[in-house]
Amino acid sequence: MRPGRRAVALLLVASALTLCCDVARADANVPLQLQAQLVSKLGAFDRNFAARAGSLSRVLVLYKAGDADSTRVATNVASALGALRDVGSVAAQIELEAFPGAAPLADRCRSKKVTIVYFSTGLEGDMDAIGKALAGVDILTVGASASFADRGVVVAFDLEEGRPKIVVHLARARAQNVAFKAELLKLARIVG
Amino acid sequence: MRHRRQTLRLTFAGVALVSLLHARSARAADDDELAELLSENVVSGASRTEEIASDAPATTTTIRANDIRRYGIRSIAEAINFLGMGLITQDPLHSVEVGGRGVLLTSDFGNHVLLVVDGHVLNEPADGTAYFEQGAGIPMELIDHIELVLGPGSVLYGGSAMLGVVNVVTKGAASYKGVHVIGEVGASPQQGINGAFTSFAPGDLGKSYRLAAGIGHELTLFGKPAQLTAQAEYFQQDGPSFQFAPQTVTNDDGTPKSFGPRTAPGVWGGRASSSYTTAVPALYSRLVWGDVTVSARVASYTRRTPYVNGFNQTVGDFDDARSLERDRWVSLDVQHRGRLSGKLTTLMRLYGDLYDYRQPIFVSQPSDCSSPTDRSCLQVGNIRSRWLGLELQAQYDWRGDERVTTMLGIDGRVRDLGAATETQDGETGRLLGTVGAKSLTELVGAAYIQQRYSPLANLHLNGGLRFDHDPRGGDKLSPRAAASLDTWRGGVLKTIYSEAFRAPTFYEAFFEDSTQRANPGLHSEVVRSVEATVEQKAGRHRFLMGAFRTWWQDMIFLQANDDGTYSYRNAASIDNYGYNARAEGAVGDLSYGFSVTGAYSRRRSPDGTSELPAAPQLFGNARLAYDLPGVLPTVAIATSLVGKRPADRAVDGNFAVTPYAPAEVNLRLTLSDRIPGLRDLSYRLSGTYVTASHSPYVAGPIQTVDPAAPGPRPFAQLAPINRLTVFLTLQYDFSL
Repeated sequence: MRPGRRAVALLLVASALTLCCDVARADANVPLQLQAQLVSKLGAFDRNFAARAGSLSRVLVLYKAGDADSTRVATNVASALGALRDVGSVAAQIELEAFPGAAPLADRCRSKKVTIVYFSTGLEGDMDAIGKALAGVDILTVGASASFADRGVVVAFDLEEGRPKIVVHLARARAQNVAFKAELLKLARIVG
Repeated sequence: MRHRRQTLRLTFAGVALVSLLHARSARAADDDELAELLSENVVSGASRTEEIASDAPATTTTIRANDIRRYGIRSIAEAINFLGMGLITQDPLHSVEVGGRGVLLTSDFGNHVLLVVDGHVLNEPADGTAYFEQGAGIPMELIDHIELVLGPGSVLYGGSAMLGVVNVVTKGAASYKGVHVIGEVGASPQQGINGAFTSFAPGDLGKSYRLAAGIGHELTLFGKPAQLTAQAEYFQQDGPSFQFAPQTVTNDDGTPKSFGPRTAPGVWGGRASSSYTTAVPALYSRLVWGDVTVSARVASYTRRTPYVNGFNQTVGDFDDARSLERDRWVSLDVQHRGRLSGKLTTLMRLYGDLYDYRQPIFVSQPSDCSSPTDRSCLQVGNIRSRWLGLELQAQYDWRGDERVTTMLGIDGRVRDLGAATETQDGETGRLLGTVGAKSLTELVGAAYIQQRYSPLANLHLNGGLRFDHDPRGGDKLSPRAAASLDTWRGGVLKTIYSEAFRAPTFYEAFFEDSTQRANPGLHSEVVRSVEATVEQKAGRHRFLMGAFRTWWQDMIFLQANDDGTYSYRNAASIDNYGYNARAEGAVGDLSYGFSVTGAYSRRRSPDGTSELPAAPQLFGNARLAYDLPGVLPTVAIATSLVGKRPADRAVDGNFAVTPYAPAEVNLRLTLSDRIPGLRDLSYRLSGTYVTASHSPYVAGPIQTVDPAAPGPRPFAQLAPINRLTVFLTLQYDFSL
């Protein structure tokens, strides 16, 4: 094969490879380290956080089983949270798990007094069910990207004008007993 | 007993006060820390990966949509001047010129800075041309943010990224939701010699207007979420008119040279009232559908420059509306991002552009026509370029924690280029002759690698290397190495070494006529740079200081040949060093920003050492914006400052006095808000005043003086500046 044809063949093979894995998802465009730092600060701006957490903030980081990218995002966020001294000014216990399903998650949150649940990418499609299951549960839910904002989390992260932006779903916050202070709401984009 | 009670009360009060103060200080610390996190700039232009700006392998400045709106910014050039750091533009009433950190290569048509919009390079491949004024054809309302990436950036972008990369990121549908209708009008007074305002009468005002309609919409397309953003607009500017001092010019045989019917024979000058215009229709759209992004841009840029100049309008009648320039583009970019696993991401980008440039110049003086004639002629310069490319990129995250990532990419494109200068009879339009006709098809290719490594949580290393094969200029290797270290709380130290190149343009290498010889043997210009910065973050405040040193080699300049003709040659080098500093932040509703750049630059060529013409060595800006409460508007004041700099013909003009443009301060006041009672209607009222009257460009046919000519040498006439502009923008936002 002539070098020119070989190069074209190589390009075609490489193009096919890049196209073969079409995963419709919203990437977490806010760097994960930054997301972890933001998660750790949210509690300080939730009036009900101290009562919810008590002396230990239990943070559940969930990923979609079998989804490698979802696992990667969750692992990195959990690792970054673990490296921080506290979450919401309270000592934290970070747990990394595959998403168990909406109802078991709600049971878990109630029984284990989970303070924050972080949803990794890939779980956007499950958020309707999660939102319904968590209605009335005293918990702060956080989504990895802006596409979570309208789908049943209290807080999502977006990149706006080259800076991270907190997106707050006020109705969902009320439904889950999260009461953010004006200082945070002033800096956030409000939806819902 | 009483005394004990009092002591107890005091103790309780003290404890309560300390607790209160502690709580307040903890709350303030929380506020500050959250504000600091939300003030982190996330950039993608330096390493083509989203990362915190302080970790990026370059010095970057982010210009945000909110600042673009409230400071009344109407073009990328204005954004650079009023809000940027390290880059500066100069406006010759023509396409603006971009310089960086003391280096500006006049008449380069932007080909030492790469302009990238949503990952698509806009510099066309014939001349590397990119525009930064309204002619860029990028609706400002669509821009989410602009990243100014300073320093050589060929490692990931290839040629032309010598001074830096201007990376424009447009808004997603969520940020531009709805339908938006925009109308804008502007006016500038008539100017006389030395920049004096000579008339504010409505009929004498220079006028501009812009009409635009945009949309941002989230939808579901074939079961997948999609986002559409688009804006179409039309910008037109006509005037103001300028008065030019008369210049007396004769032909070689001593007869008076003709500059058309608007001046007396042998005289160039007077009032130019029909030759400073701009018209830009443009459409930009972006569709994000799942993992696929399709961007399209269609634009045209027609303009008239009111004076004969040294860049590309060396002949022509005075104030003749038939002389103009027109660029047209159609650009399409299709990107697919994929994930083969949690560690491997891919990018495939297919891109193509059509571009042409046409410059008719009406010439009444027959001897100035390129083809023999005894009548007037229309000289028509034509350039066209078309290119189609495919880029494939893979990024592997070795440990899955983003601390060791490797990016590999290949980029290949075919480009078809052509140029010719025709001479037509000025009255009949009959073709009299063609010079410089040349067309060719070129294949270019590149491969690059970038390794990012964070051995410690606070140490970020980035190394990269790109190989470019370009038939013009030869093969080139462009390395970069950078390290950033988070030192103390909020402090970051960064060092960067980088290289970049620019291949000779089609015009420099191949254009040929009776006075210019082609030089296909030209090789690429190269720049090497080292720089170091220290950045301090404190809440919403950011401070940066940096120093840089650059070496430019094989710079391409027009040189005289032994036979009296000219050729472009790799004839010069540039030494350049300096500093830049920046502060920005906010206190409550008051935001501020400030930047300064100082540099020392010298060009060395066989003719000796000289300053760089038109290149500011000291420039900066400062700004303040305050959101007044209630129905009161946001008040924003921005200034841009440029020091004294030599004119474009300062080195070779041989004028009686070496011409310098004076230091210049641009002052801009903008009021903006939503209209009370009509929340969907917003306004922006802005005025700009420039203290200086002249730019560093010699105007008129006397561009150089023969030092051996008898009599006193003339002084250079510098081009005027549009010194005062007021404009009003109204925007109505409809919900969908």
